Amino acid sequence: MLSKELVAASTVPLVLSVLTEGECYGYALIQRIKELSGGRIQWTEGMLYPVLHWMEKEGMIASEWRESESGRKRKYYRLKTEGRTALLEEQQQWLTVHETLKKLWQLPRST
Amino acid sequence: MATPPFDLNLAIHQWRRRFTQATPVRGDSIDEMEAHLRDSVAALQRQSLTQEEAFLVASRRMGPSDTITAELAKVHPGDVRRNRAGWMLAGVFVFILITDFASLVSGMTVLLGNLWSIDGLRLGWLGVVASGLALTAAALAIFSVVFGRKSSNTAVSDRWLAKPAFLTTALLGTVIALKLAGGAIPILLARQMSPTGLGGVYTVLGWGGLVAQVLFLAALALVFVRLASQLVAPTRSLAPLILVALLVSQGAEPRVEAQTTTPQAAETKSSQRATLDQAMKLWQAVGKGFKHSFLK
Repeated sequence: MLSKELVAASTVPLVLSVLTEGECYGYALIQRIKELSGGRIQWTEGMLYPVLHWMEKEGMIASEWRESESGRKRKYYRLKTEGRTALLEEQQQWLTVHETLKKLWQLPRST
Repeated sequence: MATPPFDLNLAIHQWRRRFTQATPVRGDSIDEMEAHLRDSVAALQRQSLTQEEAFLVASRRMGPSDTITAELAKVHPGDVRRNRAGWMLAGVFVFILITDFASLVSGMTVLLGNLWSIDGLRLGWLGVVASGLALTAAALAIFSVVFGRKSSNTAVSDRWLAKPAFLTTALLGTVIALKLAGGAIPILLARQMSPTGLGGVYTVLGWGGLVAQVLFLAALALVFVRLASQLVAPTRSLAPLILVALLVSQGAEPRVEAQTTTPQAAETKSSQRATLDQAMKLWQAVGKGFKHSFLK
């Protein structure tokens, strides 16, 4: 399980990344993250919606109510150009942290 | 005793209510989360949970409503404000509706009373009593809604309250209809009555009606004072303003029917016309005073 702080920091890049696979609605988005993380990333599911609405307000994503094949109405989100730019930025930052930690942790222990 | 069977729709209805209680959020957001909850329940049921178990797990996974609504309110700060303003406007419409209804009732009573050729002053008092009764009934209805013990049929009231736009439009439509109907009464009366009688009716009705409305406002103020300690901050600070706005809206439109709608009014006995004139001047002074002191 991720810490609260890490969940808060990673939600936006995770959402943006899932949306690069195509448009998606809230429930399916969470299922996709669960599946990819092997259930290790779990959100308080309702808290995703304030984040999605904030991202929409910031112009990263757009939404649309539509009926799914099953006849249920769902709000679909898709990536906008601003979202792609934001994702590139996020990628840079996460990779920097990731690579630095990786190098540090791969160093032979000097004890 | 067997436990009643689990009703998913009822459970979801109650779950939705929690999201509108503390901080009002737009229905659209709740619809979105309801779709999520239903997806989640369906998926859990496929994992051989009963519907009730699936609902419990799914709503637990959604998280606490107060935290979510607080976050939503941060993203849409205008929503909360607009929602409050909308309900306040609806309240203003209800108030106008009640007072217009009361004057319509009193006007109808006067019209009916005139059929038995009762004299003007008595007819006026009859109208005041009718208006007073209508306002008392309205005040009692408000008391029972606000302080009533049993929450009667919440499902029905919820369905109405869920459509504020429809509710407000209906209220406004009724208000306009009442105003139009009320406007016809002095004209009808002017055709049927002698100018002297008419002057008497409206002198009494103007002042008696004013007293009845002030008493009604006092009853509303009582409701408000009893509620004040339970209101949350922004509403409490705005509510006195609303009351002032109502007073202004009531005081600023003097009833000029008695003077303008009857060509025969010129023939009114001079003493009675003087009384009417004085009453009108006072009305207008009160209206101007309110406008001057509160609208600037």
